[in-house]
Amino acid sequence: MRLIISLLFAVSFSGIAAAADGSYYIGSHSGVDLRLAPRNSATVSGHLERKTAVEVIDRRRSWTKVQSLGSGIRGWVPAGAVRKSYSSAKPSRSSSSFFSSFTSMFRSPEPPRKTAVLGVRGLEDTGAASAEKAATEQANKAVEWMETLDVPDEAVAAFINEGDLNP
Amino acid sequence: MMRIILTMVAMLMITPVHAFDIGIGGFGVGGNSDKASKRFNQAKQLFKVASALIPISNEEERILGKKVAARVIARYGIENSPEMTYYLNLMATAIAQRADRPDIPYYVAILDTDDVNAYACPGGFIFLTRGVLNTVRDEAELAAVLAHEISHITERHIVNALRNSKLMKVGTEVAADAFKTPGPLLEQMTSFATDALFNGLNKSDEYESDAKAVEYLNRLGYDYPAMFDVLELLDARRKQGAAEVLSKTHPSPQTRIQELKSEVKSLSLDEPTGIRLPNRFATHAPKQKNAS
Repeated sequence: MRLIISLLFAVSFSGIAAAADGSYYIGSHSGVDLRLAPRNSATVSGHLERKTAVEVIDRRRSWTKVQSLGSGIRGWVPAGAVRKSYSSAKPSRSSSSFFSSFTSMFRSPEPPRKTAVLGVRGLEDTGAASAEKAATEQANKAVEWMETLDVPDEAVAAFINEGDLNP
Repeated sequence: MMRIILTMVAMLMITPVHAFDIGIGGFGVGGNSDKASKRFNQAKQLFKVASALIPISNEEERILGKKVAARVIARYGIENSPEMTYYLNLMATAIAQRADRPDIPYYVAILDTDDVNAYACPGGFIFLTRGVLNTVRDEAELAAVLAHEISHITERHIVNALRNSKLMKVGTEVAADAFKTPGPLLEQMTSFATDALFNGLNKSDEYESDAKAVEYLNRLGYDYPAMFDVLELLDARRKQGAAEVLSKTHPSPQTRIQELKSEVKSLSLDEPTGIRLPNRFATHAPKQKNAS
């Protein structure tokens, strides 16, 4: 079910890009030393500061081989020092087709909130009953859309990591 | 489950009678009297819990919540901001995973109004207004608003108000049928819940949600004093006349601050982390202009 909801979400936000190499960065507070081999005793060949964007080029047990996207230097670092940016999974800035159709429904020709408000305000014209029904249907569709806003666990984990929040 | 709780209540209700006798005999002698009092209070507490357990399942709550959420949307409309909406849902999920009710999904949408407010419907449907997004200054403050709303749902404030209402005097079975076969009773329940949302909850619920928000912020590692900052901000906005609805439906921010200061003393909190994330907030939730 969660998978289905996630897929629905992905469909709703068609601009979501798949996570790809290059969406990683160094997350350790004090940066990390690069080593020539995947072990603590290996020679240190350089240092990457925190937040340096890197490409992951190899993995071996608890070590990850990275290359800085800026300086190009590469080496092995403890896997825990590398974090995936949640930005890689965020939707594009362009509006989704759902939102386009949804807002056009909602805003034209007359915003439903003016005629169909829960008995708090009265109906204002003879066509108000049908307008109210249409507004209710639109609102129900909007709630169904909300139920597609489930976010993948890995995106939440990356969001937490990127913010240095408690995992 | 209900039967087990009722049995426990019955046992505890019986036990204090014996203890009470000892207490009377030893009037002025602290030990037995204290025990009796403690047990009686335990029994009272359990009885209170059992009384509140007029069953509304998660699924039933969700059915109700969807209808209430539709009414909120019908009143305000939804803001078209996919990226910001996604950001809010990530944050809400992160908070909810560490909150006291992680077993239901939480969904967040932005309301198309500049009024400064937020709403939490039963079942996990949360709304923040464009006005509140334009008011907070960093991610920790935004998380404080979300955590406050999430806690209204984790503590089932509206659902409990409904359980204690006359509407639920119809009996458990009739109430359960109302969710299975939607009709006038479900509509009445929806109206009750919507009125509670728009007219305001009990002050004690608001104070509890402020304290819970601090707890949730602390668990996730946000700088929890942000909750105090949000209340100060709301106070400032209220004085500018930008939080008209909020002013009518909530205790004054200054009262909430005083209550929260008192409540925080009893919470087990870590040292504030200082994590506010203003840059990430500015990137994903840029200030919006009125779209209408």
